[in-house]
Amino acid sequence: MKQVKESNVCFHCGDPCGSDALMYQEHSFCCEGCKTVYQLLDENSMCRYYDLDENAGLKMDHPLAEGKYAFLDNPELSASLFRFKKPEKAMVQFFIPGMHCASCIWLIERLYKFLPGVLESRVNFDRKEVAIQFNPEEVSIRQVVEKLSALGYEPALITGNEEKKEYKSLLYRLGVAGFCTGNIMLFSFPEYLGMDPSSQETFSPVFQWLNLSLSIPVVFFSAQPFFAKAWKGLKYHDLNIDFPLALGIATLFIRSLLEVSMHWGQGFFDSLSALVFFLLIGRWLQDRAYEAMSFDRNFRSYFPMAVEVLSNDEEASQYRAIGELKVSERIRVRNQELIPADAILESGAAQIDYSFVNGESEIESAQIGDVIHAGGRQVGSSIILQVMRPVSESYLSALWNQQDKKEGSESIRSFSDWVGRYFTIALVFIALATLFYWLRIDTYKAFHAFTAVLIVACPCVLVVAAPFAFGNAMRWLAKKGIFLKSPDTVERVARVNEVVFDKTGTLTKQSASLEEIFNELNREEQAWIGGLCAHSSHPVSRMLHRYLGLESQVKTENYKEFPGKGIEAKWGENVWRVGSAHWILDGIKDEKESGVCVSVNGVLKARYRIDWHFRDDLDGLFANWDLPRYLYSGDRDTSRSELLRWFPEDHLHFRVSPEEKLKALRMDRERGQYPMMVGDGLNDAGALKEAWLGVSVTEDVHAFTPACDVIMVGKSISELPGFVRFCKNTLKTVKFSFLFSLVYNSIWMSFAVRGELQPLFAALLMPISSVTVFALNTIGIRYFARKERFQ
Amino acid sequence: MSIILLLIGCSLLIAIGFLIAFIWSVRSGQVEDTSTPAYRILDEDKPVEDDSGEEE
Repeated sequence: MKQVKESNVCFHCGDPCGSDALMYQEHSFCCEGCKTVYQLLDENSMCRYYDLDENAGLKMDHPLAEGKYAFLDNPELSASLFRFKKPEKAMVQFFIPGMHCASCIWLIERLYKFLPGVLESRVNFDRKEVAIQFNPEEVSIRQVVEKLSALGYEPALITGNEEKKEYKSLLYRLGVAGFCTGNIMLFSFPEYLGMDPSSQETFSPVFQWLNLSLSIPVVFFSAQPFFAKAWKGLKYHDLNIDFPLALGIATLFIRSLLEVSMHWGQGFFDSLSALVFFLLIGRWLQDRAYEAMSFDRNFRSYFPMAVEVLSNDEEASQYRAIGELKVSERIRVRNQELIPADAILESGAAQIDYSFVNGESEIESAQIGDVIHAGGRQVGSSIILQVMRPVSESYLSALWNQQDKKEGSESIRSFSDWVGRYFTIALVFIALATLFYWLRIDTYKAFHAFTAVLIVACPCVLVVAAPFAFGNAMRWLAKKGIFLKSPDTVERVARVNEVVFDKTGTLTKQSASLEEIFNELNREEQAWIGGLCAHSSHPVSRMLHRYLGLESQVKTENYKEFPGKGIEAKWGENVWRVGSAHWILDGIKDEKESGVCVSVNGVLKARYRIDWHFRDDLDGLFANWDLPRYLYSGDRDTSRSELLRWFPEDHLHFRVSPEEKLKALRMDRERGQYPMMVGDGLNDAGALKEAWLGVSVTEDVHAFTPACDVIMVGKSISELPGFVRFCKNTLKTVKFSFLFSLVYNSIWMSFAVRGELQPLFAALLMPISSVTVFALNTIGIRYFARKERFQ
Repeated sequence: MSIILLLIGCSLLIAIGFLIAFIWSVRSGQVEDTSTPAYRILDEDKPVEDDSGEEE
């Protein structure tokens, strides 16, 4: 705990503090929020938190708004959050996006030390979930949520999604299949190795009947999902990938059953059960990969769960779930709360931060009677709004709902599905042809050849190969900070043929720098302004404070802060203001309005421009990449000259609204292109969804979970060309292994068709082909990953 | 040689025992979360004093 850390780094969150660190107990903190969490931990002697993992804390730059969770006191609204509730014990489960390290687990599991009445909190780190049991008589759900938020782990309240449970049944199936397979293999050995004739007579039937009875649970319990899915596909006249599997399993089982009962031979029980076992292992691995990657959360989790609805006389108010909000109702929105629906401003000073919707960093003020769009965040005092449209029809929801399209009608038929389907049709056709040909000659041989064809050409490898290869590719990409939503995404990436970039936060870094435009301040005044700015916690004020870097001895008087506008203070007789150009210049619009201005008694004295820096490695990114690229930015064209280095003139588009981005991407799609959208976060959500492939660039993979196909760490952006190349090569590898197994299978099929393939031989051939295909994929993908230096 | 039949029966019984153990472990939720316990075990060692002192 007494560890010496770098003095200029926040003790809580590890961000650089600059020169204006807050000091507390010999530790420096970057902001008030981080200090508060430290104090809270210190009071409860929980400072071991900082020993477990360096920079464990989460930055607390958004202070928790008072009364934000007041609605949880309403039993009707909070009811849906409870897993179970009895008078003396209740359980809730939250998703905590900020959870990221061992310290987080340690702290959250010791919630009972902060809140008496909490019985147990258990973390599931992979899902970032916590299950909290508490005594509802001692502590309320609101207190639990508020305490978690105060510690920096604000939970996302999501109601009523009950999925999973299915993985347990998969594990049961896997366990049974494994058990039976192991034993069947043991009982099959004597047959393979041979026995002397006398013991053959006694033992063969025993082993065969044992194998038969052991294979029954494999076929009817473990393999049941394959049959169910194949049947479901058939009902909708669709030959899905499970159909050939089900057919293969059924054929193997029926033939083995006949062989044993008719004393023809020993059957294929080992191949059959091993096949089911390996298929289930593949499916289980796939499920686990999905679970770890399931970052796609509903946008409603960013919305408040309830809003305060005012009655007509404004006296009483109640909290209501946002889904039940009706048109023309009046709602109160407090500081830092999101506007849940498009509404008209009725009273109060509205300062709306739309960065959530359009990425604009500037805060907009609205007049009474103006329409305020859903998704904006109020900054400052509370405002009263009249709801104009229901939540489901708002601008933001409309943008979001684009996603349904992509998943539905337009979805690609996955390559392996395509192969599986045609391969199955061909296979069934060949098998039937064989059957009918031999039926005229020899009934026994006809049946023998028919099943041999189905067994030797079993497409199980084709089914497992693609997910296996793509899962493998995902692992390599994850090492480079590129996370795919699902294995199938690899196929999508391989088809990309143009790239659309967003600017702010994607090509630029998340932090900015300040540049002087003009300055008529003398040294003393500069020092005084620098000191003035230290009073405010707004990022721009702090940036200016750091830039001026001086501290004056002259005290500030009458300091006032105008949220969303700027700050004001008196120095002697003069009123000084520091703030947005819009505010200082009293609404005069001009082109460079994103800067910050200083004025005295209404006269402009200094002006600074805020620059967002480009990422360092963009030259490397664009140097040898031949895909056509476009830029759509919501910002002004201040950095056009720099961007021309990388983009052709007519590919640059500025001041593009999210809807226009979406339309542009849709037009590209309609022209038959496969655009990849590289954007950041939620403000590009619609475009990311509309694009063929949405890549979200983020600094912290865990904190931010927008809807997209790929999440990429900011510093990996120069890997984009390599990423696309790698996915293309992965697909090539898979196609090659398909071709290989096709050729291999056709060779043996030619024997099977002629009825010359011994059952034992067929059973041996199948695993050899599987192993070869897996090896081909693993080695091929490793080679291409090395080539792109994914180490 | 027919003693082998008895041995097979025994080995099957033992194997079934393990299968039941596996099913029980899945049912009781032991495989539900395989990564968090790995972190948790690191915590319990050191602060024995403050854990036991305040709880009851």
